Amino acid sequence: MFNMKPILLKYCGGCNPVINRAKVVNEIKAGLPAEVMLTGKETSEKPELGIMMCGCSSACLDRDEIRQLADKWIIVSGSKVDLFPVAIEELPAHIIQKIAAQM
Amino acid sequence: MPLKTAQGYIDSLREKKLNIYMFGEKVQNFVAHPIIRPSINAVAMTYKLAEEPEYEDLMTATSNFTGEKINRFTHLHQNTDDLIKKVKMQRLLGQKTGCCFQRCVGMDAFNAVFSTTFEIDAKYGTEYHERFKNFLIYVQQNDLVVDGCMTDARGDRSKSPGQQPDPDAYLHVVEKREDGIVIRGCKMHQTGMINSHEILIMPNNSLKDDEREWAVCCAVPIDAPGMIYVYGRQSCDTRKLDENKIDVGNIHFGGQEIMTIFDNVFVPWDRVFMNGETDFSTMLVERFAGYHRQSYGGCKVGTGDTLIGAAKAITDYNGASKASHVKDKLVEMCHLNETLYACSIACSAEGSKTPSGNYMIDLLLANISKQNVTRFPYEIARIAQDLAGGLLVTMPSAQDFDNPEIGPLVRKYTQVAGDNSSEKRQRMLRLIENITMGCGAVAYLTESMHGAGSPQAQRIMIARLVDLNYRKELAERLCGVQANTDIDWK
Repeated sequence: MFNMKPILLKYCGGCNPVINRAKVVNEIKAGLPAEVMLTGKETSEKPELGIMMCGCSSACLDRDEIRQLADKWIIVSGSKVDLFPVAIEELPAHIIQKIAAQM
Repeated sequence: MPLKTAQGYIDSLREKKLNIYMFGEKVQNFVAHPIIRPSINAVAMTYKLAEEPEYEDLMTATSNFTGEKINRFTHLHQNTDDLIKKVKMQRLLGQKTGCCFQRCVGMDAFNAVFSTTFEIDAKYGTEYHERFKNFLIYVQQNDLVVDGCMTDARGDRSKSPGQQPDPDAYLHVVEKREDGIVIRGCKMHQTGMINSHEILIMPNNSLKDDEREWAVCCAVPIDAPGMIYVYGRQSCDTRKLDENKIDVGNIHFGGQEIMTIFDNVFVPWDRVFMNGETDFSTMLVERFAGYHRQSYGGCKVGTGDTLIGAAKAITDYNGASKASHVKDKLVEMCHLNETLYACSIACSAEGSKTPSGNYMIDLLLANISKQNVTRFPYEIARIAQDLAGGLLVTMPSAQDFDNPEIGPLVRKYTQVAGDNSSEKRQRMLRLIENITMGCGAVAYLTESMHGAGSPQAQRIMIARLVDLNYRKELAERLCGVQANTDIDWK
């Protein structure tokens, strides 16, 4: 279901978030197998998957130079995941499902 | 190249045989009617400016379907730059017409229907999005005006569509046939309706599961059988019948509001974009309203520019422009006007991509923008009337100025500063009158209040979109109600 490669995690600047980004990330971490690592550190090996954790719908982090850092991305923009609306309380579970589908 | 000329647009309306009523009588040649023509001229400006190189960067765009140059009013926003350019285009047109130019509602409807149909299809496997794409390509290729049509008659406001004693209070599907649907109802306050080629109908509000017949989005040509149009009266509208046009104020341009009756109108399936999906009516309404609330921070600002200009002119004519309080009032008008603009630019810059690929404004900021629009134009108008002086409402008619016996006396006693003629003052006061209490006030004031949703509609959205608890937490961390132990601050 999951492979054990690290997932790159990038946050937006957090100026006016409509979600608690750190809380969502903590809940994702808690819901993933312990071996799956979310990391903010860029390494020489390009990760397969990254998560952009943006606090609002403008998704200001979604830029070319960020996209180049991983092969595929799950983009959280406020209460949307990959552009589709998701209830805030369902965000962690929804993102975990997406991770499972992509790894 | 799919761009019509302004003249080509006006000529295209002449071909339409419409059931229009005004003052209890059927209108025969609506394009030449002196009360209607100024509203046609205002729409024609959206074509005229697109023809001119100095405006084409704002007025035109590249179709994401065909790659051709199209009028921006038929465009799907492809990025936040498109959203910003939309607002700038609207300001420009407000400046050039001093009134509502009526074409925004269609553009806002296109963008809302495009993304919503994509999401309906994703959930239900329907084919609405492809149908709508084909319709929009037809609109772009023929550079058409499309009236986005939402507000129903609504009957008893305490009841939902399905509870109304008369089900026609909200437009609904009354018959489903093998080849399409039949709709009946009435859409109110339709700005620019008879200046359009097509009508894009949307549901009015959120719907319950069992209100499927009201969940309808579709397009019909303006001259479809069963369409009836009743022209709305406006303050001072019959002045447009005067031979001397000075008392009209805005000589060439004006708005138009139509009561639009759909009396059993047939719609073929390829023009049906929602049919019973009640769970998507809220999405469509909110997206359309969001785009349209953004629009008002463009068009009303452009009209505001003309009113500020008129106020400046009248103080110059009166010899009052050096008074400090006059200068300050003009600054206040500018401050209010630019604040409106800033909000709409902001909601555009903070826009985001929808799953269908087009771009949506930031809903919260768009609602803030429109909430300001429900107030600031009234204050700008109040200051304009303050600066204009009482003659604004006591001035004799243009016929008195023209009268051979009293005309010289009327001019003598309305003489103004320096070499400014009394006619200049007369014209400028009539323009201020037009925008603040005449025909132009329909768009500049009351439409600012109720168009794209009355003030309370924005406040409901603002309450829903702002996270007050997040703000409470910020305050609690500052004053020590919650600990702030990020580092040792001591």
